Amino acid sequence: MSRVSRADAPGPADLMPADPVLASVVDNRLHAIAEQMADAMLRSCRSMVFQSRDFVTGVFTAAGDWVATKDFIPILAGSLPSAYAGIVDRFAGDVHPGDVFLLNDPYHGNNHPPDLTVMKPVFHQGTLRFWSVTKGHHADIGGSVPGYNPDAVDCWQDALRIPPVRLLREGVAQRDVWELILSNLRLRDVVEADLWCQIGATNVGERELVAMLDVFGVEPVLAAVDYQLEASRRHIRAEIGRIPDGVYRSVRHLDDGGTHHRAPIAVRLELIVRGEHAVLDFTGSDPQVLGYANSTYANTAAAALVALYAVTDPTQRRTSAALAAVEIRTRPGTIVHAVEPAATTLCTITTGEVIIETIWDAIGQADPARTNAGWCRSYGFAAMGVNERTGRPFGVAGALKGGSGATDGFDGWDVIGPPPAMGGGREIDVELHELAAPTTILSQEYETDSAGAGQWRGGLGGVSRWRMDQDDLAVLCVGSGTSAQTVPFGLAGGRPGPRNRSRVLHVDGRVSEPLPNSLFRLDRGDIVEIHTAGGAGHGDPRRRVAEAVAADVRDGLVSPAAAREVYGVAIDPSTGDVDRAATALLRADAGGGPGGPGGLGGPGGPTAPAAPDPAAPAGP
Amino acid sequence: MSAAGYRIAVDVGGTFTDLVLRRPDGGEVIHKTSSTPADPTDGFVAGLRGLATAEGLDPGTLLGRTDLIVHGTTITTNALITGRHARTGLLTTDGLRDVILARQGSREDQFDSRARPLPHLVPRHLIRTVRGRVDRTGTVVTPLAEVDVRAAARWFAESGVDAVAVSFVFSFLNDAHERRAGEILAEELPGVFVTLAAGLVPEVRLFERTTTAVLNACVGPVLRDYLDRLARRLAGLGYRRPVLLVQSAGGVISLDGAAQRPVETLLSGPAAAPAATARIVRALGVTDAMTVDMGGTSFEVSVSHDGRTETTSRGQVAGHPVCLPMLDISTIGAGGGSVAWVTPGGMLRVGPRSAGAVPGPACYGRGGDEPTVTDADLLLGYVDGRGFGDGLALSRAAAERAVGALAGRLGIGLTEAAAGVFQTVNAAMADSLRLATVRRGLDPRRFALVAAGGAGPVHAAALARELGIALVVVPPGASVLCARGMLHADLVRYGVHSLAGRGERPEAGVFDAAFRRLAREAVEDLGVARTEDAEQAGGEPDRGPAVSPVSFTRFADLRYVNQVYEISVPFAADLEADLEAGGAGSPEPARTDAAAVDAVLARFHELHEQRYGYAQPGVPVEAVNLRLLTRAPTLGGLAPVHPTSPCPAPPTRAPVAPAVPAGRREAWFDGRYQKVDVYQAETLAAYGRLAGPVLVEQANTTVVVPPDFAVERVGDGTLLLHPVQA
Repeated sequence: MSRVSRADAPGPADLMPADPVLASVVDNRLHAIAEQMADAMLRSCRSMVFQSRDFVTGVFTAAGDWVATKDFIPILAGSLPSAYAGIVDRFAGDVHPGDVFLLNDPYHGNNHPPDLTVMKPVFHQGTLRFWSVTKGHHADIGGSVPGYNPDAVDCWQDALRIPPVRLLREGVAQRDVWELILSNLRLRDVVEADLWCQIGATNVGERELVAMLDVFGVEPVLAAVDYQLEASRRHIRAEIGRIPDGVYRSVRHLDDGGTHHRAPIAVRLELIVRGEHAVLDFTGSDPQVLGYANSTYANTAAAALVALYAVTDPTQRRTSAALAAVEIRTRPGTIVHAVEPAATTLCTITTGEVIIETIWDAIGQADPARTNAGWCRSYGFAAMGVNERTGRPFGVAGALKGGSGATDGFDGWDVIGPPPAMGGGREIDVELHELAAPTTILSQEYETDSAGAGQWRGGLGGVSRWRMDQDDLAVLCVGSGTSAQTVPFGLAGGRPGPRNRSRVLHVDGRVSEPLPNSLFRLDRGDIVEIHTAGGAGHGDPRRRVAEAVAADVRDGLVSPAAAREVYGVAIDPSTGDVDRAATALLRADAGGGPGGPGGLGGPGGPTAPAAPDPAAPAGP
Repeated sequence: MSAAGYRIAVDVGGTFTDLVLRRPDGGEVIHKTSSTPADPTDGFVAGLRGLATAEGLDPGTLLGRTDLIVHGTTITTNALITGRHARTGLLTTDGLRDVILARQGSREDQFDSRARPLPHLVPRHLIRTVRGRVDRTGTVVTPLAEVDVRAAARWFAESGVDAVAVSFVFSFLNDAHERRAGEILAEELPGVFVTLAAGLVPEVRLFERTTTAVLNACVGPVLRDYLDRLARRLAGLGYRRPVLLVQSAGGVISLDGAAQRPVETLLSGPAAAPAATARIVRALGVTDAMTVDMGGTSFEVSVSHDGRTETTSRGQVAGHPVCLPMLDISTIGAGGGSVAWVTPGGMLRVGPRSAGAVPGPACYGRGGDEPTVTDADLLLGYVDGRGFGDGLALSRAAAERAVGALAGRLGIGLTEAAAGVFQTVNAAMADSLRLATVRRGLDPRRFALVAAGGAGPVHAAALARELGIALVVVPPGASVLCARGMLHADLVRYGVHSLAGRGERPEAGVFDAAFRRLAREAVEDLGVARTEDAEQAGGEPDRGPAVSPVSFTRFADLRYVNQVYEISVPFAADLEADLEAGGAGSPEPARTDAAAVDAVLARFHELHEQRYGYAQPGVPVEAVNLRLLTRAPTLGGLAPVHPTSPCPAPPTRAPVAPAVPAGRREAWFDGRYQKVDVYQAETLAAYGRLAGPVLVEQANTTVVVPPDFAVERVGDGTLLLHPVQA
């Protein structure tokens, strides 16, 4: 970035202002404002994408510091600072009260094209003090196909490119700019409404920021913000300081890059930890590819931030000071630092996931207790078109998500989806789905044995069966995690998760297996069956509390065969309880480590908790 | 109606059971006793005995002269929070077994890998699916496999469930399968509490509808057992008249009605506060008020606008969505026990974790060593360390140690740290008050702030200052605010007519027919409730609580086409008519004509702009649900105590001559400790005015009046705080 952020300058303690209390008050207020903006968006949006909370809000200072956010989908948030810089660099000196700016172009600081960044300057008594910002994933942003285009070879096929433009000038909508954009979209009404939804949220933010400045005064607020940024910087540095010093390397792969690159792509990380300083060196990663999987630098930095926050103190704030505290090295022209004209749409999901995995994997080498076992990769289908019943355009996805990886002492979360969202997204209700789309969700259930086994097991994945109720629907399969190389990785003896996979049961009796990252068409009666991976396990499955295994068997999450073979737990079929003698034999046979025949003294009962007591496995 | 007798309100909370007795002449007697969680009816009966003693009667005589008991209970909420609810099964559609377990694929604490999902209300092995499917048009496309229902019933019987929820996809469009499954379960599982989802929540969204039905089932047997026990004990004391239960939406319902829809009692306790507030501020000529109830662990906010508190159908209890009308009461983790801490980066934070009652704040001397809001309040001199609640003496030394450690980490002095905790928790509370109003497009500065709970009056003036509020109201006995509200609660029914999935354009004829149908059902329901109550109590039907006059408020849940959430827009004419009539009511809802529809649409665009920062007047609007609120005051035969004049006369006690301070103590104001006068609230003269800084002691709380405020006592003992211009 060409701009110098205040957060870049590590301020010594004696520069800290004397009023930490006001800093806390202002910090809380800024976050409450970001949440209120998000609430306004959630309650007034149109598209199912926004409804699933695929958006973020943020507050920036006039000096360019990102100071607050509500990050339902955090990978969108970490790239706000570069989008901010893209807009401000273009319009510096030409910013007026009532202006609203828009950006989607990945080569002007945005992360990827479907996420539209909307920014409104906030003036107080005639002076620019803050920016009220939202970013959301739109239902359509042009290009050859709405949403994700696995056929795209470059950024022009990928999507409509919107460099920084002015949507409103001093409160007046610039109809020429709007028409230029909307005329290039299929779902223009939905996008127009969701853009207003974003603008409305920036208005709400503006109103509240001005009220805050009225109450506390400008100078105290600015001093408080400086303090808050310094605290954020110190906080993440202290957290990094807890990771053992060393150099750790990880390589993780994307399955492929779309239609024109059917081969794995490597992200290579060298993590260097020295005291409170961390370097994430991705320079050894594969070159960028012909296709939509290339990650912009903005997205790579955002992914790094998600990965770090997920394994450090969860009470931290996400700010530009935290971003600045970590050194990220990339080489332009690689899969993690795309240059024009690379297509980039897939980068927030698959490529982001792989980047996050390398960081978790590397930290796991330093200390497996500090990190997450591998989570599911994003994998799913979307159908789009015009619903003949309602006459309205639609775009929907129809599968349960996969599970998260276990951590030391805790099972993963079931069907929570991949890490770029960290569980912030929310699935569309079955009934809302079927009312909007000519497709039927025949089933969406957890899949037995889909979680990676472990002393703490992964969260469950799902199996979904989804039927088309209209002919000639455009269907997209998108994602990764379909090869043995790319399944969720286990930690400390925990087992990996399974592969993502799917098949199509055609109405004429054929069965086909769609390639990930491909487009095809389906007809009325065709059924897509999708299996999403559970997360990976943490620790030896034979150390899992036997009663917890029995509870999983009772609940249909683990099969009796897997209980016996993987966990070394025999279940009495007549009662569903642990067969203690047989289990002791099984676990002794396998030489099941220090836990051995233990686990028998764990918390029992028919409702034994899914997360076993870590103290329990120590048997007699 | 026969000669009016006594009326009793009983509010059973987690710690205390509050009772208020209202005499036929309008006088009130307040009694407080400890709650008895093992069997809350013990505390209930002990409280009644206490009231009788206070009134100089034996319990039988008191109850013989009592017309009505209104009861608020936390029995269902506690069952949910502690997990001690009924063992519950769920019967749902084949293929959709995991809808409630999957939490829509999300989690709240996104970055906390140690966060755990909410405990499952139904374990997965007690979720059974059955074949049978209704499609998006309400058409049966696969017949119900009754054999599956019977097999599930056997499994439930073997598993020893006490309750079953039945929730099938699209049942809000066609509930034939749910009803048939309910019949089969009734045959197969006699005595088991069965809830049919569409009967409870006839609205779109399978996840929320199912969760609500499951919650209903989980707490059903708990409430049923409790109410049976209570009825027996009251009968044993000779009480033969109705008992009404407070609902989450703020109205009251017969015991039979409550037992059928127990999920509607999840907010039974706090839901009475807004009614109390509305009454208190109405007497002051104020229509808009926020009630803040700050206790040991939480801070509850309700907003009353135009004399009415909004209800929401998108509420949550203990983290579970509840799709039935409940008063929009928001809770944040900010109470006296909230723990203050410093991030590794040096930021001061307060809460959300609480030290609870045990070990409690450091100053309780029960082994807690973490600094809390109460510790800060003590060090700042705002609360009196000598006798706190239950006569507990607070340890200043322990508070100093705890807050001192905090100060060390922040690099500031002890007192600055205490003041910092006070200011930080106030800011967090102010944020939640701001959200509660601004999110609805309301300006918090136009509201009065009513302070309740042990810590509410300590912090109220600071909150008012932060929000620019001009009037703080501290009612007498702020700690029994809810019980007083119960005396004045209305009988209420919320009817809903779902239009979802039908793409209804707002049309006067459709609206009018739906509202009339809902009104007929509500009136019939209220009448039935009265009769049943009276019969159940063994009394004569004509002596039940009055159900007329009735008032109706129409709401339309509106949204722009393609939007996913609605705004519930009230018909302004109903609100105005209600205010003008002063509760006189009307026999049926006003006619919904084209002009009324136009007005409600115009209001929708306005509200949308206020709440979400934009409106699109050119975009078509659709109606998702129509709702009708039907109210029948229970207070029929009683004369109101307070005429609607701003300053009512004192009901029982003559004003005491000029107040004299009971003492003086050091308290932190304007950045320094000052010796300030401490008054006892009951010794303040009516209409007398004291300039801050002063402290006014009430039972179990202190009203902090900072230097930029003045306090006055109005007739019935209410304290009013106003900011004074410097």
